Amino acid sequence: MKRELGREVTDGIPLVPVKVRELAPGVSWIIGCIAVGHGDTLIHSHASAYLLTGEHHSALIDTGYPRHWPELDTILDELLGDRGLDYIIPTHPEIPHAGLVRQLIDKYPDSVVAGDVRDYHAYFGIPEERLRAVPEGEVLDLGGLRLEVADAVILDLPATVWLFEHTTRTLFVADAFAYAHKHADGECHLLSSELPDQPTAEQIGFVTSRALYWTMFAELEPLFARLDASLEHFDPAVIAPAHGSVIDDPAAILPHIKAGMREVSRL
Amino acid sequence: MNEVLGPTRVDEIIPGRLFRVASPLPLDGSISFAAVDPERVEWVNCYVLTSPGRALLIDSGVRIHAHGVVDAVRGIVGDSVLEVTITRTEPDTLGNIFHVIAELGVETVTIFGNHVHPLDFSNAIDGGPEVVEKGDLMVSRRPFADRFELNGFELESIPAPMRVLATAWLYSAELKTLFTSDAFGFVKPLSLDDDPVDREPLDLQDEVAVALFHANVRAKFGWLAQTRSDQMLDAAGAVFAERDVDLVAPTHGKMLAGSPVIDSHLAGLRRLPSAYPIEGHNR
Repeated sequence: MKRELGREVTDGIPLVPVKVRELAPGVSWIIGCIAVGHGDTLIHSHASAYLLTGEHHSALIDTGYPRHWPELDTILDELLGDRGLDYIIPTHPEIPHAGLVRQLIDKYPDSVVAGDVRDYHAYFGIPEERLRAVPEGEVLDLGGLRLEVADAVILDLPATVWLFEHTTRTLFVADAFAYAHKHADGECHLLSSELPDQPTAEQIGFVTSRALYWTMFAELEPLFARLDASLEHFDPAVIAPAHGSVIDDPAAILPHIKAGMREVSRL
Repeated sequence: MNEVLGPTRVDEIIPGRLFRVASPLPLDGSISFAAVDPERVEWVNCYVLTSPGRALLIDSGVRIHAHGVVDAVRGIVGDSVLEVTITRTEPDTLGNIFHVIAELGVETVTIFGNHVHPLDFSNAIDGGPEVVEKGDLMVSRRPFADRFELNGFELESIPAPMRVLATAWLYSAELKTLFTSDAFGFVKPLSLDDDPVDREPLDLQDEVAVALFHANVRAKFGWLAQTRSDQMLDAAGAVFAERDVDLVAPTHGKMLAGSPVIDSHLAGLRRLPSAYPIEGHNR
């Protein structure tokens, strides 16, 4: 029997099925939304993972929530078949991004956790021989897909990486470019250009105030200048956040993201 | 390897009332939340409040210390009824909660805010024995700002003004102790046998000491130098000003004792933005 006390109870909120969408050949978006109470309504927050399957190697960027393991387990079987997973790359060691590293390490005995690998031994008990530090600027050649570890311009934890895939020009941005979406409108798998509306300041602020609390107190313009420089350098066609819809029209969405972050700023 | 750096240690901070359970990690670059420092070590702390027949564990440490933490808490608690609370849902607070629940017979866990079930997280991190079912665990959810009783201990939860993710600071008026989760743990011990409590104010005239302090602040809160942090630090200062705090009990590093020490740390934090201009890298 489930027993709950207290004023704010989230159990009972419906679980959202994990979905998969191919963004480009070899790049799959694994969509693990969670429903969250927000006032009198429910909204969704993505906790996405991205599977990259090159000709020689495969990589999973972020892991999603532990509660999604049974579905992720099946999805990986379907997408990878017998080829296995080579790189597990959490963008940072928080639960929605790294909470399944143990399961993945156990499922794929030849895999390594790659990227900024500090904390994973202490936090998750990952053996040191299964950790591969990949410094900023180094490229993992997956075969047809080339994944570069990039500076995380917007982050909350120090051990955060962004990643850029050169062939598809996809930039994986961890907690940045985050925004919630509606619960009942089937929007979980939609790209930004397919959504009926541009992200609102409220949708951006909902995630930003939780995942990037400090940016509410930040000098945003210097931060945005660094962001613009990063975007100019990589020139991404697609921006793939962990906590927001995949952005296939970055130039159109970027002003809304900035506006939303300015809106929730406390300065 | 971290496992052999040293054993988990127990310090009786307030006789018969407050214990610290501290497990060491090396400051060799393998952790991100403290600066590299070959002359010091890091402690990951949990705290046990005790009264006759009752005990409360605040946070549960990181996974590689599971056995040390469980054994230490068991030794403190004995046959008392144990409840657990966690200040935030991150791997250094949740890391061993599954082991603690399973091995020490915990029936109630208290969390703050609108989080999902803690076992959604800990099952994955902990890798402990598969004997705890969600339905067997009573989860008490409290607001971030509240006064309440947990297993007989009067506590106040305070929304942490200086934080990464949603975090509750916990205050015990009876013990005059503020549990600050991942804040104010910026002084690292010189050895495994070091005093658990820092009793010397940060010397703001000592550039080396201030630089070391800032290095540890920046390791955890690298973005602080990019913020107009006055609002955060004013709010943090108000938490102390409005309460009678003798001890600060963070998740990492040494505890702090006394207003002069606490005030010196607040002053050191206020110097951070000027020490590291806003154009600086954020980690």
